Amino acid sequence: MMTSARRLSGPIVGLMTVSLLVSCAGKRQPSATATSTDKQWDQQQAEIQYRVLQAELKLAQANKPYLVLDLKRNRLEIKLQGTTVWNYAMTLENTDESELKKFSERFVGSDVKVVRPIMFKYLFAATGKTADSILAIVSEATTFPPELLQRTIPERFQLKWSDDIVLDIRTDVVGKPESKWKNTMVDIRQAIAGHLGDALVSVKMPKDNAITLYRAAVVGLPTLIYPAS
Amino acid sequence: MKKVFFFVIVPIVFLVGVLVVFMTITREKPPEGIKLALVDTVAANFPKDEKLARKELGNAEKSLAKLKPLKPYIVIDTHANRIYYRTEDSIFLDAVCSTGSGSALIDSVTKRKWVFNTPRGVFKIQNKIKDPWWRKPDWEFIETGEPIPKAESDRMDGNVMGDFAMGFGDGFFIHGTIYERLLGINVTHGCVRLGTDDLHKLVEMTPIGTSVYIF
Repeated sequence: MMTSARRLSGPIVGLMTVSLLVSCAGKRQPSATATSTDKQWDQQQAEIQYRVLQAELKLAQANKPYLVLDLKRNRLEIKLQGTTVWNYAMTLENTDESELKKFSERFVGSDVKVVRPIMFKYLFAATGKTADSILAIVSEATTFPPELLQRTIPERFQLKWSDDIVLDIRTDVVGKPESKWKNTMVDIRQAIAGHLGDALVSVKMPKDNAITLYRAAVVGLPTLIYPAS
Repeated sequence: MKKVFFFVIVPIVFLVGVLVVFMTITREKPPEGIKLALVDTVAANFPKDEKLARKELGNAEKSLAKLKPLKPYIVIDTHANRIYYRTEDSIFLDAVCSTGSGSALIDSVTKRKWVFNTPRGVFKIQNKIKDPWWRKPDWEFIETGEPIPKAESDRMDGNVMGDFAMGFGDGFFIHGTIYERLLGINVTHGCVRLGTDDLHKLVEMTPIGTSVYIF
């Protein structure tokens, strides 16, 4: 879906006064964080690292989980009191290093923001974890309603932060679309926005990891970034 | 010139307009009540001098490292119903468990209410009990529609908690189950149930005082 939408949108965007639109999007481009070209001391990088450490110390004191996008090691982590409770080595899909760097730079922005809350979570398609027949038996035996016992296994979902920063997660599960129409709209919008400089990273994930991330990544969950170097 | 205007400029302007409208109407509105800047990380005090800056960075790293347990710890993932015995980088045990259902029970007579959640946060293993007995709380009788017994002995059941129980506070335990088929599903009243083999392994690995992270 995403690929075909991208294919379609390419020529359209090309036709449509790209320069005008790019100039509009240009104002949202963050200034690049300093990259150390030498092995010597880099004050700007050190300052970013200091901000990350200070931010993590504050998040750790909150006694609530937080998400870490470790783009230095390509790892996603959920931490509680500074300790890793869930981690996943990212397998990037249709995403190259430059897109990852763009994602990182957009997240940090010109004002060096290292923590952002998740603003949106969008489920494209999913399937139930437990068969209805089993749910019926368990529900009767435990007196718990089946809907409480069921856990969604996502086929694909997105986490989104402000400034159109999107993490797209896909699994091998074949699920039922939540809304085909809305899914198409979201894909087309993001394909166009991608041409205009928006940051989208796509990750492939085993279903067991995806269940945890999908359920734990609630709207408002603080997300800390270790920026890509 | 007219041809260029009608066949090039007008379609382009039209398409740009459509695009702008599409991008505007499909833009999500941010949810209310979410603070954009959750953590204000002012680095104004960060020293400009390299030596001092290195020291400051080192101190911050040490403060963060102090928060991490030095020994392996237990993680209970209530979202996927899995339990881990792990360090930051290694997992020594990964097993399916069952955690709290999240359902609520209200006593129609006394209006007492219970919500069957596994508590979230950081705890410590406080004890290890072999062949544990379960002291049935009031909600067990209310849930099953039986009268609450007066004799303490009528509350005791030695057949449901498996071979071991490890308490982590507030009456919550990691223990075995006779309902192994329900592992992986949120069916408990807050305790964490494990299969027999995994329970034996975990009990053997886990010293009292081990940190338990539940999320």
